[in-house]
Amino acid sequence: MTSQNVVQPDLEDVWQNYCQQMQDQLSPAVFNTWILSNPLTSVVFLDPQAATITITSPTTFHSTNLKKNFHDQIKRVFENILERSCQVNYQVGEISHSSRSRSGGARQTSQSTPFSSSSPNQIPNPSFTSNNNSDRVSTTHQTSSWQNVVPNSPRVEDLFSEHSLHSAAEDRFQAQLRGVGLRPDYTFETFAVSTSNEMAHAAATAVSNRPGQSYNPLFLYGGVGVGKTHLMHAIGNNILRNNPDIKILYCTGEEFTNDIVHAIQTKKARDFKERYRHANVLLLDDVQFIAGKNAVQEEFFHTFNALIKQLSQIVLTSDRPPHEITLLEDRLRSRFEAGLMIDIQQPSFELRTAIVLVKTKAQNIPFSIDQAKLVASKVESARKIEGVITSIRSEMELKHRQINTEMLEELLAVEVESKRPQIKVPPADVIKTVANHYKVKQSSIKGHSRVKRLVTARHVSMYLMKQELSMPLTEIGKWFAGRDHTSVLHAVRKINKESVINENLQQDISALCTTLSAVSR
Amino acid sequence: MKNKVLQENLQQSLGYVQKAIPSRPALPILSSVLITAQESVFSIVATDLYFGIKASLPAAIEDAGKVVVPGKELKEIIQSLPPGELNLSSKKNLLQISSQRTKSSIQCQVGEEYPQFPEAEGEKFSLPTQVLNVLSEKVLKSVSTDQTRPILTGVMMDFSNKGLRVVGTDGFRLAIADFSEIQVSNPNTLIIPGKVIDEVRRIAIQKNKESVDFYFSEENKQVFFSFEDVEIFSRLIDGEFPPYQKIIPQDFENKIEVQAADLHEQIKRALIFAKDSSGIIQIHYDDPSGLIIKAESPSIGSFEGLIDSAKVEGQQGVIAFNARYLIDFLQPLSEEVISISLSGALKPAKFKVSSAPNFQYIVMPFRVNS
Repeated sequence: MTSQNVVQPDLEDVWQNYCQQMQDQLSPAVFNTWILSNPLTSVVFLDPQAATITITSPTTFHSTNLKKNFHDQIKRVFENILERSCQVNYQVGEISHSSRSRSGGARQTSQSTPFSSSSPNQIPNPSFTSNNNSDRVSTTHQTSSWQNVVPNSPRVEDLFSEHSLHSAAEDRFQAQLRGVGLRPDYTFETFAVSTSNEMAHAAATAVSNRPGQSYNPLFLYGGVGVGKTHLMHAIGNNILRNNPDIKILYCTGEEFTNDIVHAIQTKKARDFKERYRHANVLLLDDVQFIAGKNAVQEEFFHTFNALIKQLSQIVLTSDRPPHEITLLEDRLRSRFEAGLMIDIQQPSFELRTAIVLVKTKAQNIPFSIDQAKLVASKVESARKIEGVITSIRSEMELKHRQINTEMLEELLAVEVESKRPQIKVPPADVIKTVANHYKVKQSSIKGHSRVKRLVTARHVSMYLMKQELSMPLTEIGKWFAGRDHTSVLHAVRKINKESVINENLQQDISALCTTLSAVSR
Repeated sequence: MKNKVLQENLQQSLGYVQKAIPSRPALPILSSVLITAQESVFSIVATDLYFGIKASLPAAIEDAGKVVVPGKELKEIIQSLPPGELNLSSKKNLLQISSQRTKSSIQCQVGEEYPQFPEAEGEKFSLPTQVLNVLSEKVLKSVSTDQTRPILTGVMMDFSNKGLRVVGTDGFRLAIADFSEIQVSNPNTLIIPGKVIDEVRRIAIQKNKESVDFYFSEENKQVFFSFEDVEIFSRLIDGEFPPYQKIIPQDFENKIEVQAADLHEQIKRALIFAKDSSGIIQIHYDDPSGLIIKAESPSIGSFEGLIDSAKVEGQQGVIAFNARYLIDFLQPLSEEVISISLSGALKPAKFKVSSAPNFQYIVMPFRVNS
């Protein structure tokens, strides 16, 4: 409109001027009741000849009577001040938040005017402050004065003080965690980050800060004890901390299955749907459990769609990527793959050391870095580390032993024997898995080609057959076009040596082991 | 103006409007009431511009007119007269009231100077008087009278599809009453001054009404209660109600169950000794023999009362409250069993009554110095 191009007047100046003139014409009581309590909230110049003025009153009582009794006078004063024809509008109460700051200023002026020393000719009117307007003043400053109001009895804290609100929020948070079934100690703070899991950590942090908006669904996969569940709990923890009222559902694939079975048995499918489809965040651990169960997959598919549609965050974990979960319905697989899939690798030696330090610190066990290194060198999975630390603590607490190298060696000797699960697969599967992993043909792995990629794949296959399947060297040789046992030995040694320095190779091997152990189960 | 009215009716109507006559009026004229006789309606209006009551009464109007009469004096003189017919007539600036044996003339002003009463408008709601009774008994006592925090002088009424929730708080205790039976089509939240609710209830009871209709206008920030012959106008309190949901404790370490009457008695006794220490009494739930209520005063002495029928679950401890807050809660109760849920001496405690499961009372404890 044209009003955009006209220079607008300063609201406060106009208001001050208006008050000044009105005060000269009216008695103090009338001025206070009908002018000061009804602030000017906007002045808009439409063109050089016209202006629109809005006066806001606390009640209809004020506005109707103001209009009835003072309209002509108000109009005249404004026309005098602004030197143009004025249209005066009257409205009640609601001062929108956007205009509040301006009108607040105007109103504040209205408060200070009768008392300010700069205008000694004005007589303060006690009835005005004590009766009419005192409540309106503090309404304006409600939010700021909220905490520093003097309580009317000593030593009792305000229900709505910062401290009470905070402590109530903390209690609520803890109760929520218990209700959802999340572990309070599985947070981002207690999660040790290194190259093998930094992507997953970053994605989980992003998801937890903006649930439903950053990566949906988030699919975390990796072998046993790499920290999938920890990250999932940490996401839940962080979301709840940011917003205690959000509805989080945490369950494992197995619990989800049981829930459906139970719902069907008790004919309460509706309750089930109600429960799952109204969640703001669904955390489903070990989703691979639902594979092969058709009714469950069907239900999950619908739940999944419903949640994604309403922008609820979904986080899934699995021990292998979607395309390797056999018996998973294609439509589910494609949906999982539509989100962000992140692979968490087996922890490297450095990360394991860090995990030992983080976990021992959390349990207040004094642990030196050398001792941590010792544990990390003997234990591969993060979950095992937790077990080792628990047994260390029990040794300390129950047998009152000091932590020393000897004690650790003793404990770890037991641990190492019962190391990771044996991989029991036919040798052909090893070659197949390796071929898939490196995206080469099985026949070329077995063949004679000296292409670097093939050689690595071939050596890794041999290494796995030797290390994991404990096959005799000659036997292994037969699988690779009848190679000599010395060639096999060379390959195994080479991989052994290289995996210590080459992190990529190390990760390849651990990923392959994970896949193989999954297949062998 | 010339009319005939019955003293009984006039006295009753003045009784209705008297709460709206401000004790410290912003305008001198507001300490008066407006009497209008027009088109067969005779009415009296009082207001402080934020809250107003208009009462109509039967009258024989011979000559229409409007006068403004000092409220207090008018009420006192009418009250002092015996029942029977009164003649009201105004001449210039005098209102003459004559009964059989009296003749009073009161100074008055012309009716046009009195502010005009607003019209009822907005959405219509209805509240059973029973709800108002519950509010008055359970919620209004927690509403603040301290004008420095005006929002707390209001009762928050939250109409939603789950029913009506009414909340009152003075910042030290919080009362929440839920009425799931009240259904409305449009969800709305109103903050109505506590004293207005009390006044509406008083009139509803006097008039023996089962329910009260009211009109709420968001635009005009007003609420209008209407009976056949009495209209009550109030502005709504503007502002944000404190985040009361956030401080409702969810989880407790202790639960104490006790007969309301037993606790009430002991606290009343304890309060005698606690009067000069801000009414602080202590509840000890660490003794195997039962609950012990203690109070101490350096100038009077000390008190200890045992409630051996109380059931205490959870850890042991001591918590201190302002006895008056507890008495407000216990006063209307007698046979009921109440439960006190708490988590240590510093966190708010929740009180519930077995007979009123939809009512919660949350009190902030005092810090115990020991």
